This record gives sequence, structure tokens and C-alpha cells, in this order.
Amino acid sequence: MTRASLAIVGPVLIWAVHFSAVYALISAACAPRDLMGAGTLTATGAVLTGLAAIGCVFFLIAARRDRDGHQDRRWDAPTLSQAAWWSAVISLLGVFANAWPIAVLPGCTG
Amino acid sequence: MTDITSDTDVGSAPKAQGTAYDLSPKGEPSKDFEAIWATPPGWRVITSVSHRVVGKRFLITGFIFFLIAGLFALLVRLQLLVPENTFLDSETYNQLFTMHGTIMMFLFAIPMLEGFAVYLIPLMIGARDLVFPRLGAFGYWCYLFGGIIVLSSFLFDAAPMGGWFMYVPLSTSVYTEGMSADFWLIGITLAEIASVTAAVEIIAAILCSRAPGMTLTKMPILMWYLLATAFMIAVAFPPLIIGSILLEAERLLGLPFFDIARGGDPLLWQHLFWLFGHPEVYIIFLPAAGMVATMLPVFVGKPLFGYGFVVAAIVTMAFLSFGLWAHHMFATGLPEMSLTLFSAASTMVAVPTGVQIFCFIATLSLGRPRLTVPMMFILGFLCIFVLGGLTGVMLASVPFNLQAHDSYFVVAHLHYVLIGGFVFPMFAALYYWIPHFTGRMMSKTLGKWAFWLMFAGFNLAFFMMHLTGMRGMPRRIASYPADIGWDRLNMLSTLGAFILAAGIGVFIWDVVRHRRKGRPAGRNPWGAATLEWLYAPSAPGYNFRAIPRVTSREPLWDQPDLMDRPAAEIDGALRRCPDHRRETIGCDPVSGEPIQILRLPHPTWFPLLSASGMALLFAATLAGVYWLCAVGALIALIGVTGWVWEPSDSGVTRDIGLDGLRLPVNAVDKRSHLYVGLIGTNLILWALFFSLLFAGLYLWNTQPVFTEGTARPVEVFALLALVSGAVAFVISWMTARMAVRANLRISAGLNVFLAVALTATGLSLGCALLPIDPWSTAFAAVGWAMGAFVGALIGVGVYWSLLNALRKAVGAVHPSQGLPDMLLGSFGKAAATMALGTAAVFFLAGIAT
Repeated sequence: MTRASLAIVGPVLIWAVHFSAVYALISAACAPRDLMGAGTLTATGAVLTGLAAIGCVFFLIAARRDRDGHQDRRWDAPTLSQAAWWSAVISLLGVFANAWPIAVLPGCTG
Repeated sequence: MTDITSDTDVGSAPKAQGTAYDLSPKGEPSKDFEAIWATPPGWRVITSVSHRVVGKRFLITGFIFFLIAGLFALLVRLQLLVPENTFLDSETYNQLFTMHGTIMMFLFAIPMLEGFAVYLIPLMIGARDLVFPRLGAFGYWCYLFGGIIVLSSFLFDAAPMGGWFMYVPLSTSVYTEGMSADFWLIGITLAEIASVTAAVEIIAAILCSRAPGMTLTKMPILMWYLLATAFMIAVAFPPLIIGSILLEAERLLGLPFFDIARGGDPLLWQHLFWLFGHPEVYIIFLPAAGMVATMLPVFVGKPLFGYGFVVAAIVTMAFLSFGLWAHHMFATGLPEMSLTLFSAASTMVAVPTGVQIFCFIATLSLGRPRLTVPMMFILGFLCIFVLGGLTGVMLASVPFNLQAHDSYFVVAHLHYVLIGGFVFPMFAALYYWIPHFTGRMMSKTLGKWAFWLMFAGFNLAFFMMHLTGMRGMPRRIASYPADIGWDRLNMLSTLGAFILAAGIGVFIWDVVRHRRKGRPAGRNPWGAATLEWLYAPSAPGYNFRAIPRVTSREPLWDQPDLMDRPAAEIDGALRRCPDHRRETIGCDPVSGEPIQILRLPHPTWFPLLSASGMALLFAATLAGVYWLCAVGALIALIGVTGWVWEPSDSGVTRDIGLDGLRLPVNAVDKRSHLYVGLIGTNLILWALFFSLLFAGLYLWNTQPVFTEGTARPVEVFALLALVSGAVAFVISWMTARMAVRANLRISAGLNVFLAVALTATGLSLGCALLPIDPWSTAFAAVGWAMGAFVGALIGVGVYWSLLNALRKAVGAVHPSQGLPDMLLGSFGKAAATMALGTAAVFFLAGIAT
């Protein structure tokens, strides 16, 4: 049950790390210090997004498996698995939303 | 992590059992169970730390602030009633709208939700009190004193007038002379202490003191909302606390954090403020939605639809709401790519919010709702909040946002969200739970009048503002010219505001009236499913004579044994009270199974004393009487020392009278409430540290010229700090390990070594900073701020270490009472890690050319 509880937080934690990373990348590329170019930004962002998406999908599959695996509906885990599944879906959408600006904009000023 | 068996082993040491109790008799053998839990009579009621008393204090004080802020809003609306009005001068107008926003956000909304949380959590989870009652009382006094400081600014003709967000450079001493901004910064920072203490309290209470059998998914849904909110407070408030301290340091000491001429950046303030400010909206909204999710099933007569969906929505909203802060800064010139990132995140948060709202609607469709007064306010919430959410999605779009920025459209949006999302649910909750407070029902007729006046008045006042904003009227202007299309809309808004106020007036009348003429509520007057209605209101001070085992998420509906007999006769844990102490059951955070007996404090002066010292410290800083600051700090220190000096309770086991379980008292266990509370505290400390780190990185990234021109720390001392910090970490780890062993001499020695290692770390960091002039650049000032923060942590660590050593030296601690060392070890590791991080940053900055 502890695992099931953590499975709710896991995917959205991935979203948070991904959001912070994308924000840091954009800040690195677009602030006066100019730490990286547009190409590096896009490539790094793509890699991070891929990793984050894989993480969310992993939680999605695990939650699905957990939910289907429990025959005894009186137990708590199905409810937690349901929550974990939805959390993973929303987080996955959120990861793609984070990546959107890097994917569609050619540079810092659009 | 130790398990129950090992805890029992700890407690089974006969010598420890006898010694601990013979030498530290905190029980009150002359009193029976009822008297032990009774509220102190007369003026000594202010020593009460009971959650019922403290919760009501929060609610009443918060509501008084609500009325004051509402009065300011009416004055603002009167000024805008007609064009070119001279009812108020511009300065007074600025003061009124600033104080309206400030009080509503800091002194009304957050404290009200804290009040509901403090009052309801133990009742709903089957506990007799919160796990840290003194912390709750301390928080309340800080809030009250902070609120008084902010409000007292009117007496000195120094009311803040820079807006509730206190933007720089307007609020720096260059543009705001006098003390008005200082009243805001100091008063609000003091009041914020209540919020962060409440966060720790809520996290530990919900996770560690539930009734036997109450697993996470058998918790009332409100507990999920409050848990998420508490974690959000722990992470969201620190950036504002850091921002406020930096701004006050700039005003008081001339440090250039936001001074662009010395490498500061006004946008840094906006980042820190909105890192708090946007999650704040969800911090206010989530508990209100939780109360709706609690009441809605009662009036529908069916369980909440999609408990799992709602839990997912709560958790994801809690996270996603942190990714929206810069959508308040769309017009500040951020790069397009940043704007798009925040726009996308702002749109994304609508997804979990929508999931939750659809669950509410689905619950409504499950049965035939009873149209009670709370239910009417819930329906009002759904209408208004959904409209506010829709305009929120509009404002998340950058092009629209740039058009609507700083116009009355935004005023309309934020009031639809906040009044719809908090005030209407709050009134529903007040109508629902006031019978629990007073034992009497409020009038349905007057309630309907209150609702319709508020609903109609609100929509008249604020719907018009959408139109006023679309016609171009900016916010925060004291007057406007005639004949440009704003006159009638403003008049209607003012009329609506007074109708809304009339509705609130009817509510107040009903509150006064029902105390004498209200129908007695009786047991479970709404037919609710949750445990707070187990006893007929007003429930006794101990909440539960015996704490029942819970087997359902809706115990009063599904467990007939709870309602088929008088509540006091229900079977459960801790019916016996052999030690004449206030006690409740401590549980495993996840499974809810009992793992320990929690001993709770009896009425005490220490929270009030500590808070009074803090208030004196803050007020003397405001007045510039620095010797008085030292007096205030000393009083606070005395209060805290008296608070923590008390003898330990751990080291014994007792039969809880349920399932044959014999449990340790205040177990030395990582699942204990104290350890979980410390995790919450460390979370807050980390958030404070990262806020400072963010400030440093932000300035490093955006002000490279000034950063490169800043003097560097001395590498040798930074290296020394790294070494001594590592030693402090290792000793902290050993201290925590020693907590479960019995050798007091060794652990006292470790305490002293830890104090020495921490002191060495602090001194090394100070020496590393010495060549840097904090007034030279903002980057240098942030470096000093990091050093000061770590220095404060080290100060706490040294004090704590020496106190633990002293307690052992004078025989106040006995073998097997290792909780204080376990907690010190955990705190020491966190403090040492932050010191190591700071030292590493200083070292890298030192060797960089």
C-alpha cells in the first residue's frame, strides 16, 4: 500500500522535475548570460522530455497492472491505483505541455 | 525504521519504565478523565491549547478580519460610485485597496482554512486533539499579533499603500518613505509563522493520529485536501518569507537586492512573490473544495463519486499550481519562450481542476440533493467558480492576457475565483459546522436570504467588472473621467457590493440570533457520514471517550455499531486513563494501524510567552529600538526552552484496550508524529534555502556584469567549512543512530561534539564571507543572506545540541528516551547539508576567476 501511495506522487514528481529542468534550460538560453544556443536547448529539452515521458508511461502501466491485479474490491489498493493511473495521465499531458514552447518556437523571442 | 515489536522492547526495560514516571510525573491524578480534558476556567482559558479552542479562535479572528477588509472594499466601491469622486483622496484609496487585499489574502483566507483544519482534523480522523497542540496555539498568537501590527499602521498614519503584492521598486525606501511598507513586511512575516506551523501540524496530525483502521483511502476526502494544502504551504510560503526579509533588509540596511544600479533586479521580487502568490490561490481553494467534497455527499445521500479521481486531481493540482507563477508576469518582458511555458502550464492546471469539478457534478447526479442552506452555497460555488476558471483559461493565453492586463477584467476574474472558490464554500461550511460549534441550528429562512443576497450581489458587482475591464478601465485608479462608458457599470458594481454586504449582514444576524433561539442540533443533524458528528453537539472536549475502530470511509453510514448506542458507550481504544494524561492513538502513516500512544500537553503559558517574545522582537524591529529586539528574542527563547524542557514520556508501554494491543508511549520510531513533523519542518527549511539559492542563481544569470565584478569568498575558509560541515553531518548521523541505544554519556558527548562542529562550520563560512562587501552588489548581498540563513540554522542546531546534553547531565532524560536525539540527528543532517551546499557554492565562486 505504501508503494501504491507513492505511485500517486511519482508521476507528478517527474512532471515537477521536468518543468524545473525546462525552465532552467530556457533561462540558460534566454537570459543575458546566454549559456547555450537554440540547438542545444532543443536537443536537451527533447532528451529530458523523452525521459520524463517514459517515466510517466512506466507509472501508467504499473498503475494499470495494479488496478487489474486486485480481485478483492474491499481492499484499498484499487482506489489508490485508480488515483495513480489518473495522476500518471495528467502528468504525462503536463510533460508534453512543458515541452511545447521548445518544440514550437524557433528561439527565445519566438 | 523500528517496528512495533522493537518499540515494545524499548518500553519493556523495567528500569526505564519506573524511572521515567517516578521522576517526571506530568499526570494529574487528582482529576478524572473529564476534568483532564476540560478547558481552564476564567481568564486562564488563554492557556488552553485544545484544538477546539484554538480552531475557534482562528475562525472568529479570521472572520473579524474578513469584515474589516470587507468594509475597506465598500469604501473603495463608494469612491468608484460616480466619476471624478472626491469621497476619498488618492492616498487613502491606495491604503484601502492595499489593506483590503492584504487582509483578505493573509489575515482572512489562510487563517480561516487553518481554523477549519485545526478544529476539524482530530474530530474527523478519530483523534482527541492535534498532535502538536502547543504549536497550534503558538501559531494563533503569532497570527493575531502579526495582524494587529499590520492593522495598527492606520493608527500611525502609515498604512501600506503599495498593493497587496508590494512590488519593488515602489515599495523600496526610495519611493515609499516612512514605515508603511515596513508595517506590511514585518506584520505579515510574523503572521506567516502561523501558516508554516499549521502546515507542520496538519501533516503530522493527518498522517500520524488517525483512528485504528483508518487507512489513507478510508480518510475523509477533506483530509487529502488538507494534506496536499499543508505540503503546498510548506513549499510556497518560504519564497515569500525570504522575499519579505530581503526587502525589509533593503529598506532597513540599504542592502541592494532589488536595486538595479547595484546589480539587483525588481523582477526578482516578483518571482519570489508569485512563487508564493500563485500556489496561494490553490492553498485557499483546495481546502474549500475539500469542504464541498465533504458536504456534497451528505446532501445527495450518496458517497462521493470517484474518490480515486479526486485524490489524483488533488495531488496533481498541488504540484501543477507551482508551475504557473510567471503568468502574473506576462507583461514584464520575459522571453517569449518563458511566456509559452507558463501559458501551457496554466492551461494544464485546468485538467485536474476539471476532473474534480466533474466528480462533484457526477455526485450531484447520483441522488436527489436536499436543498439546504449549505447546499445552496455549494451550488453557488459551482456556478461562480466555474466562471472564474473559464476566465482563468482565457487569461492563461498570452495575447489575451496582454490585452486584459491590469484591467478590471482581471479584478473580476480573481474575485470569481477567490469568492467563488473560497468564500461561498466557507459560508456553506459555516452553516454546516456552526451547529457543531454551538449545538444549535441556524435559520433556514435567514440562510436563504443570506445566500440569495450574496449570490445576486456578488454577480452584480463582479460580472460588471468583466465589462468595465473590456472597456479599458485599469485597476487601482482612485477616480475616472465621466462619459467614457464606465459610469453605469461602476455604479452597478457598487450597488452589487452593498447587496453582497447585506447578505453577510443577514448571516451575522443569524449567528447572533441562533445562539438563543436556534433549534437544538441533536446528534448528527445533517445525516452526515463522518466522525465529527458521532457525538451530539457540542461534543465533549476529548472528542472521543474511546477511539473507535474505523472500517469504512463513511463510518456513520456503514458502521451501525457507532450510531446504535450513546457515543460515550462505543467500544474503542484508550477508554482507560491510568496515567491521568491527555492521550490519543498514534498510527502508521499509511495503514492507519495503531503503533503508539501519543501523550498530549495540558494547558500551558509557554506558547503565548514565546509568541509574545516574537511579537516584541518584530515590533521593536519596526520601531528601530534594537535593544528591545534582544529582550523580545530572550523572552521567546525562554518560552521555547520551557516548552521543550519538559520530561520525556517515552520508555513505557500501555494496554490500549483494543484488540489486546500493548503500545509504547511516544515511540522512538521514524513513523512517530515528532519525526514526521520534523520532516515537514525540514521541508520548509529546504524551501527557504532553495529560495535563496534561486535568488543567487537568478542574479548570476541575469546580471553577469555585476556578478563578475563582485568580490569572491576566501577559498580556504570555504574549504574548512566543507570539512567541518561534513564532520557535523557524520555526528548528526551518529546522534540519530544513538537515539535507540541507552548510553546517555556517549550521546551527551555527541551532542557537545555536534555543537562544536556546527560552530566551526558557521565560523568558517563567516570568515569566507569577510572580504565581501554586502553593499557592493546584489549578488554579494545574496551571498551574505545565504550565510546568515545557514548561520541561523547553525544557531538553532547548537542551542538544541547543548540543551539535549544539559538535560542528560541534570538527569532529566533516561535511557530509552531517545526521541530528542533522533530529531536532533535529522535536523543536524539537514542543517549540515545546507551548510555544505553553501560552502560548496562559496568555494566554487572563490576559485572561479
